[in-house]
Amino acid sequence: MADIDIKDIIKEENLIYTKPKVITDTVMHYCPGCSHGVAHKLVAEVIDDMDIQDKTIGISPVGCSVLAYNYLDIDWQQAAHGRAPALATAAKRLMPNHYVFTYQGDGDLASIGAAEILHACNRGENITVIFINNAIYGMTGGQMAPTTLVGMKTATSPYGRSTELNGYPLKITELIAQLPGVAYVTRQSVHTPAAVRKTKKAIRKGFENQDKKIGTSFIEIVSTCSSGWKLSPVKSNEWMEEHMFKFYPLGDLKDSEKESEESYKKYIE
Amino acid sequence: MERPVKKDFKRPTHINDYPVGPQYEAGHLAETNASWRSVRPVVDNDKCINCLICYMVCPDGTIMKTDGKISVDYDYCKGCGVCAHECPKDAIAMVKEEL
Amino acid sequence: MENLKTNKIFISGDEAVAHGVRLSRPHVIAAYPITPQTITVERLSEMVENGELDSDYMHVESEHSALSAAMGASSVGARTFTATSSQGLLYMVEAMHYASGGRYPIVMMNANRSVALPWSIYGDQRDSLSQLDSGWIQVYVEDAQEALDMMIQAYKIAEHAKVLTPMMVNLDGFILTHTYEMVEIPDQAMVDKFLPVFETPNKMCFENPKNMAFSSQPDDNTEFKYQQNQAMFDAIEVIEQTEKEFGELFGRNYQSMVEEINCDDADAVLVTLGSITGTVRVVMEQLRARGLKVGILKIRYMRPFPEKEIMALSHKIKAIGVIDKDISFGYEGTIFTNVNSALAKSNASIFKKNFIGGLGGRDITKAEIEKMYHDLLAGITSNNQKTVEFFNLKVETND
Repeated sequence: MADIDIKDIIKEENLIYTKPKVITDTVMHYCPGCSHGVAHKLVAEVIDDMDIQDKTIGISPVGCSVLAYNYLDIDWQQAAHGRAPALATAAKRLMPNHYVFTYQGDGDLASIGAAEILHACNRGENITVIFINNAIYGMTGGQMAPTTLVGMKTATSPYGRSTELNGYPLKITELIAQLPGVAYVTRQSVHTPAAVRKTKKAIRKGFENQDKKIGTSFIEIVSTCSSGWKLSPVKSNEWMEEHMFKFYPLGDLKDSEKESEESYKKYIE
Repeated sequence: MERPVKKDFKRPTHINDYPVGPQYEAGHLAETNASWRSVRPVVDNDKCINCLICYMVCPDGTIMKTDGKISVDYDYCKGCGVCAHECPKDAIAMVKEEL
Repeated sequence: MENLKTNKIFISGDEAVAHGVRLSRPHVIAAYPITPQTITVERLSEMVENGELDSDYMHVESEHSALSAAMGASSVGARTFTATSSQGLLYMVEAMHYASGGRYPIVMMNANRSVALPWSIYGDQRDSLSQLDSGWIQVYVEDAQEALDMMIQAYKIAEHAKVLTPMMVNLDGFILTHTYEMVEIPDQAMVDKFLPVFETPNKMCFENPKNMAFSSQPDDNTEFKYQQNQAMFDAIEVIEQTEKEFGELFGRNYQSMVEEINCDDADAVLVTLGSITGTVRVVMEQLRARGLKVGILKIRYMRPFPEKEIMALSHKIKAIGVIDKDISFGYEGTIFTNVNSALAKSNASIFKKNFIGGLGGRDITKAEIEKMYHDLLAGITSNNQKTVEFFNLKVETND
C-alpha cells in the first residue's frame, strides 16, 4: 500500500468545506448553542460566495450581537438601540452599489426599534434585514420581550407571560409583509442542516435582491437562547421546534418576484 | 339652544396665582375665536327651506336654529364657506367683512 | 423586652433599590431593562407577580415610553416608579422635561453608566450629570443601604406639596448596583408611618375636571419656569426636614444636602459624588493617621445644589479638589463647574483643581486618590498645576 502524502489530500478539488474567508479568528463570545454563531457564518458564506467582501456594509445592533463587528471582516457601523434601519437607509442611499444589511435581535427590532423598521420597510429601502428572533432580551439577562410567547417564563415574567397584563406576542414579520415597499419576507431557522441550507438560500436571495432594486428583504431567523430560556442547547432546539414554530411558522411570507403582476398590484394600489 | 359662554379669566398678578404646573379647570373658555374671519355667511331667510344641511356640515357648530330661523353665531364662525357651498337653495352668501 | 431580630440581608445595590421601592408601595411601575439596572426591574417583576407588591407593572417597549407611561399614571394620582441608565436616560430626556415641567412627583432610579460612543456598559456619571438642567431633583448614593433608604425618602420629598418635582436616585453602575452588602430592610409598618399614601391636588378628577400639561404663550412661560425653579429651592428645606424625620424613625442619618467628613480642621478637601466616597474615606483616614489635614465633602444632592454649604466650607479650608467622573467637552467637569460657581460667589480665594477620570468604568485607585490630596496640599503654597486634569490617562499626550 503506497504512502499517501498529506499534500495529496489537501487539494483544491478535494475541498468540501472551509471556514468562510470573511469570518475572523476572534473567538465568539456567544453562549454555547447560540444561533448567532450559525447566522453569522451564513452571512459570511453568502458574502464570500458573491465575492462582495469589499462592498458590504453591516449595521450592528445593541444586543448580544453588538460585537458582530469583531467576527465578520467587512465594514461595520454600530447603531443606537433599534436605529439600525435608519443608518442602513442612509448608507444604502449614499452608496447604492454597496450591499447594506442590518443584523438585529428582537429587542432591537421589535421593541425599541419597531417604528424604525416599519418606516424603513415602508420606504422600501433596498437593504437586507436579518432579524434574530429568540423571544427574549438576551443580552440584558433574559427579560420578557414583545416577541415572548404566551406563558413563557422570563426574568421579568417569572410566572409566565400573561396576555391580560402584557398583551400577545408581536408578529412583526407579518406586519412588515403587508408593506408594499417590501420585496421579500421569510422566516427561517438554523437548528438542522436542512434548515441551515434554506436559511443560506434566503440570505443569498436577500443580498441578490439589492441588485434588483425591488425593495427591502426581511429575513427572520427563529432562534434559541439557552441562557435566557434556561435550557441546554439541545433542549432549546427541541423547545423551539415544539413551541416557537407553532407561533412563528417558517416559510416565505412574501416574495414579490414569485407573485404575479396582478397579485402584487394589490399591495401598491 | 345652549351656546358657549366666554368666562372671565383674571390674569395672575402674583406668582402664587399660577397653578402648580400648567393646568386649569377644564372647559374654561377664555376667548372667542372669530378674529381671523375675512368673509362672513349671511343667511337669506326667504330662500332658506330649513333643511339644516348647513348645520350638519358646519365644522365649528356655529349654525343654529332660533325661533324657527337659521342664524349664525358670529362669535365663533370662522368664515370657512362650507355652509354656503352646501346650501341647496343658495340661501347663504359669503360677504366680505367690514374692516 | 422585644427579641432583637435583625432584618439585615446580603443583597446588591440593585436589589436594595427594589426593596426600597417595594416598601414605598408605588401603584405603577413602568420600565425597560438596561444593564446595569436589570436586576432591579427583575426583582420588582417577581415581587409584583408573586403578590408581595401590589403594583401595576407595565413592560413597555422603550425608556421614552416608560417615562411617558409613568407621567400618565402620575397624572391620575398614582405613585409611580421607573428605572434606567445611560442610553435609556438619554432616550427619556424629552419626557423628563415634561415630567418636571408638569410637576409630577415620579421617582426614578438611575444606574450611572457611560454614554455611547464609544459604547460601554461600565460606570461613570456622564449620563445623569448631563441632565442637571432637566428639572429633576438629583441625589447620589454611596452604598446599598443609602440606596434603599433614599428610595423611601425620595417619595416623601418629591410628593411634598411645596415640591411636587420628580426625583432621580443615582447609583454607580456595577460598582454599586452589582456589589453585595449587608442591608437592613426596614419594617413595612414603619415605612407606612413615615411615608403616607400619595395624595395630590395635581391630578385628574371627575368632580373637578381639569386640563393638564398644556402649552403656554410667551406671556406665561417664564412664570411657570420661575415657579418650578422656586420649588427646587423650597425642596432644600423639605430635604432637610425629611432627613431629620427619617433619622429619628429609622436610626440612620445621611446629613441631607452634603456630608462633611473631617472638614472642620482640614487644609485640603476632596469633593466626591457617589460610591467613590467610600474609597476616598479609606485614603483620608490613612493620610490623617500620618498627620495630613485632609477631609471629604460628599455631595449628595446635585439639584438642588448645596451652594451655601460649599460657600461656608470655602472660608475654612485652603484647597479643594473635585473628582469628576464626567467631562463637559471643551470645558471641565460638571461637578467642578457647579462647585466653582459657589466658590466664586463666596469670594474665598483657595486653590482649586478638577480631577477628571474614572470614565467608562476605569477604576479609581487609592494611590491616585492619595496623589490628588498631595496635589491639593502642594497647590496651597505654589500654584503651578493645571486646574483641570485627566488624572489617569494610560498614554502620553501632546501636553
